[in-house]
Amino acid sequence: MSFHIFKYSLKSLVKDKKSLFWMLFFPIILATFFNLAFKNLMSDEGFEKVKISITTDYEMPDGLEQVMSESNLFTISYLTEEEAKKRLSEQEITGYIKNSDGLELVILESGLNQSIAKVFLDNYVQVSATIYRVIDENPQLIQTGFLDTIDFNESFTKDIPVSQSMNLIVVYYYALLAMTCLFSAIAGCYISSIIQANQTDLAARINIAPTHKLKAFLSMVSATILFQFISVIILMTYISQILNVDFGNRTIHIGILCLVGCFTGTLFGAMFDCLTKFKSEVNEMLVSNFIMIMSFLSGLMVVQMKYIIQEKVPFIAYINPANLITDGLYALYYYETFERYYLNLTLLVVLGIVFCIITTLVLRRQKYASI
Amino acid sequence: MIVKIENLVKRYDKLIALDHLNIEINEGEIFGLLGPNGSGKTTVINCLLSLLKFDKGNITLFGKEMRPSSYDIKRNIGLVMQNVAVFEELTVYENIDYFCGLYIKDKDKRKDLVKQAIEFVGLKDFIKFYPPKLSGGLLRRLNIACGIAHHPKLIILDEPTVAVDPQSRNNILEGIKKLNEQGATIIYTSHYMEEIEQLCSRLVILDKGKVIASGTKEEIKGMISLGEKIIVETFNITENHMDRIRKLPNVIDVELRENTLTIRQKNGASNLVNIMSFIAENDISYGKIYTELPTLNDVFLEITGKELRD
Repeated sequence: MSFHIFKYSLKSLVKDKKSLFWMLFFPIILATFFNLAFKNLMSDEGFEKVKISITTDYEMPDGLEQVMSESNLFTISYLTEEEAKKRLSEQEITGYIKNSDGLELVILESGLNQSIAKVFLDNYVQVSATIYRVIDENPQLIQTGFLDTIDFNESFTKDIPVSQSMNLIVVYYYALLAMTCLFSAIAGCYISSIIQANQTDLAARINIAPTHKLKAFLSMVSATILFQFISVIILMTYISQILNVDFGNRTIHIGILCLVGCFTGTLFGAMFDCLTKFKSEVNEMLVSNFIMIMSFLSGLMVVQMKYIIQEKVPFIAYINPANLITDGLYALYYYETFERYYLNLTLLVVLGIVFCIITTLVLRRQKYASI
Repeated sequence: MIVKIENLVKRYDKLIALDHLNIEINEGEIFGLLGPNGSGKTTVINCLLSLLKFDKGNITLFGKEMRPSSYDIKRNIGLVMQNVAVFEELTVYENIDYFCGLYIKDKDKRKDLVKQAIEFVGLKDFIKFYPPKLSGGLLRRLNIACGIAHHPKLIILDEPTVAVDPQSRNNILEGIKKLNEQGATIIYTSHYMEEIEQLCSRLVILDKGKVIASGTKEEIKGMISLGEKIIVETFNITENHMDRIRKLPNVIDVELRENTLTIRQKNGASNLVNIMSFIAENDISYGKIYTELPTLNDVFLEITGKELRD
């Protein structure tokens, strides 16, 4: 490897606005959008209890307080009506319940919390009136355990296990990391175009220099992998430290997978450019489209796609570098063992080596029919 | 002999780009490849540098067969291409250092060479500039610096003055002469005959992939029937006068363009006295009268029947 070419390739990547945008800023922007979209889903609080007061100036029906507290919907405070009015006007509580001429909910404005309190109270009044009437007419029902079958709580919320929603969201971020690793393919494409004399004038100039073509190629590839890997580290730091997304504690394993992802991505781009006859700009566009398709299949846009592909066409999942990275990261996060992680890592390495061999064979001692 | 091309044939499908080309270039000369666009000049260069496959023939550089892996030969070659080939993200200094570094490993030596190249092309005030910020002329100079910084023995310049302003063109041509004086052998391709006439000691003229003339400038000019041209700035010459001039001995052709009368004569003949007498006898008013030797364009015109810039 030539340190001279490596140094200047790295320098030119850092100074190239297009590379910086696609390989670093674009993924950061996407991560930010993901965060905005998933903010509420990532929160483990989910539902905030309704603050309600029960006035102490009146006697409340038996069981009301018990039913309210069992519903898990309310934070209950006990105040005089005067205090409750004051708290309500200061918007410290959603409303208060008094029992002057029947149960009554006092609120100042309409909203979700107010509706929950009202529906709950209406439900309580209706059910309790029904019970009194039924028991008046059939007192023997108390002996048969009738009261135990009564449910005062209408279903206002639905339980979704936090871990399940976390699964889906983290997969989005994993797919984003995979996409970022694979964006190195665009730079790989560029490398290939400046190493083949029939593609650019710059390539012709490099080709007539007394530097072995593969040595120059590998130096440029190494610079690209390093640059992309640094971009991935910056992105991961941003996602975990600024956006507070938990990637687990297997940082070294994540790093290794991303590094191999950058290697495979770079060589995918280089191979693509070697095998096609299009101009380098066209190839770069095609490669970026390919990466987006790979990322889509690994769940970047629709997370279920990852599972559909894995179930219906597992072969695609195994040869899709984006899926291998995503799945490897997923395995690290959710499994105690490393089997699935190593399977993905191995497949990714194999793919990278295959891309490398094909590129090397095409580039080797190449002379061109036309320039 | 530094370059020897024997029977070189290059085809693009049915089109013959180079047709049994034979060229020999000696050490220390400035050798010109002259021809109109599409005549095969750049194809010769690309074959010479082993960038292009060719169908037949042999190419030797510095006495050895040229191959893509001939790194010992490549070490002694510098290429200045028709199009500017530099990295847009690197500064002027970094670009020259990058290309020089492909040839020279020693850091200190390279630093010296880069400095010399920058001074040579006059880019000292622009070392921190990025290529997109440079004018066309400065870019061409950077292109040259990248090709010559490593002090090659053989420098190939492929139309380096295309789309360059006259002042930059003169600087470039002067620079090429200096490089030659410093010991470099130069191959210079152009479709500007004035440049080739000004620079080259020997040349070949290419047309449709064939050498149509080769030798020194004088030898090539001697190959045609045209001799001295007499040019007269005149204001009242008639068709009748022109017909009578045509009938004078050794006159090949007479042409009037605006107020300039050009009388072409046979090689080795002089008609100046006869023409002067004719003008005086016929009361033709005139401004300047002067003679001009045939140019390479005249050579090209006589051999191919078309102007070099066509």
